[in-house]
Amino acid sequence: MASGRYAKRLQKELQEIQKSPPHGIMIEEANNLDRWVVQITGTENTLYNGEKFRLQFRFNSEYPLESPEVMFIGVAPIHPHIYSNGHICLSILYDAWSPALTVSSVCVSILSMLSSCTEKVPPVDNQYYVSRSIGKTPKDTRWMFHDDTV
Amino acid sequence: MNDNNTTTSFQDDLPSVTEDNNNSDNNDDKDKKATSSNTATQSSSFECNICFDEVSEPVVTQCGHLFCWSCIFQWLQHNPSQQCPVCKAPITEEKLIPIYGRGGSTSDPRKNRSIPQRPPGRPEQRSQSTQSTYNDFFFGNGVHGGAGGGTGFNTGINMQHNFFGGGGVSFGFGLFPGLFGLHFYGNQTPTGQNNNQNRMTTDLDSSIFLSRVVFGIGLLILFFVLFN
Repeated sequence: MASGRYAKRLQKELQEIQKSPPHGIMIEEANNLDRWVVQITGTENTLYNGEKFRLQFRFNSEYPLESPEVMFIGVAPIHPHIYSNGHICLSILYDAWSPALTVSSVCVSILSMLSSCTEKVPPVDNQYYVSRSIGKTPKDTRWMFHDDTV
Repeated sequence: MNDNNTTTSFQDDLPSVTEDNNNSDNNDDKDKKATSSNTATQSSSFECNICFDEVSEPVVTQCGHLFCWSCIFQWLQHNPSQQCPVCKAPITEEKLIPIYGRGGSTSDPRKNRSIPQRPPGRPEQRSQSTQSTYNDFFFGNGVHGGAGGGTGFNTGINMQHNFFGGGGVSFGFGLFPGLFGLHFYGNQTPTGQNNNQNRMTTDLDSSIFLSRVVFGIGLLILFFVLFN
């Protein structure tokens, strides 16, 4: 269970995102405040137009001082910064996290990352990374953020 | 804030309407703006940017972002980069400004003993003389001699006139209040002279040089008149 201290914040975020969800973002499951599943839909006129993906958010007791663990579950989009095991290479999920960010803003960032993609290719080191990170969460990885074009 | 506005603009309405209803019905432009900007989040402007709750022991960063003291303190402890969570501007604990509303600060509801006290306010110290004495002094004299000379030469003559005639405070303040204010006071009220001198030196540092130059010119003219 999320720490009592910030459970209220998660409640508030949930209410807001359910009340006025950003375009292409829908809360699929949040019965347990610790784990949310968010469905995102690829934006029109992009490579992912209409494709639906599921994002899993896990919050530990330090949230929002610590970033949530965010990854795709089920089928992950093919994208140069998204590994086939669902891990996402996105700075705000790790080093550049800020407690002012929200589930909603993270989802929007991920959608925008999909939208700006010009070629559906997996990361160059996909096989290597996926085989090495079995049983690990994306937060265990030491990410290098080098490409801000996509 | 809303309460005040709604009571003034809806004096005839039933007092039992809820605040939300008031907001949506309110004709006041200011309120409309406030509610329209908040409709997306339905949040008040005074929520902490970390816990999203109403701020307790509010502090504001130099970049203007509002946090609970305990929230921002924990973030600064937690994150070595010492950046504002909202805009990533560099922030330090020392430069956080506490905000004190009316009615005193409430205690931290989280009662977290590991959070130190909020940093105190650091009002700027005024210099030796206060603004009000400066104004009193300046305008007080200005009223008497407000029509004073327009040029250095004229003021010089005026001063000379004053020396000889011993008349009341007059002239000279329009252009160079520092010098002549000081001087005339010296003539009129010897007891107040020292005080006024002190005030002048602290208040009008910036014009002191100019005043001295004009004083010199005035003296020259005085000598010229006396010894010719």
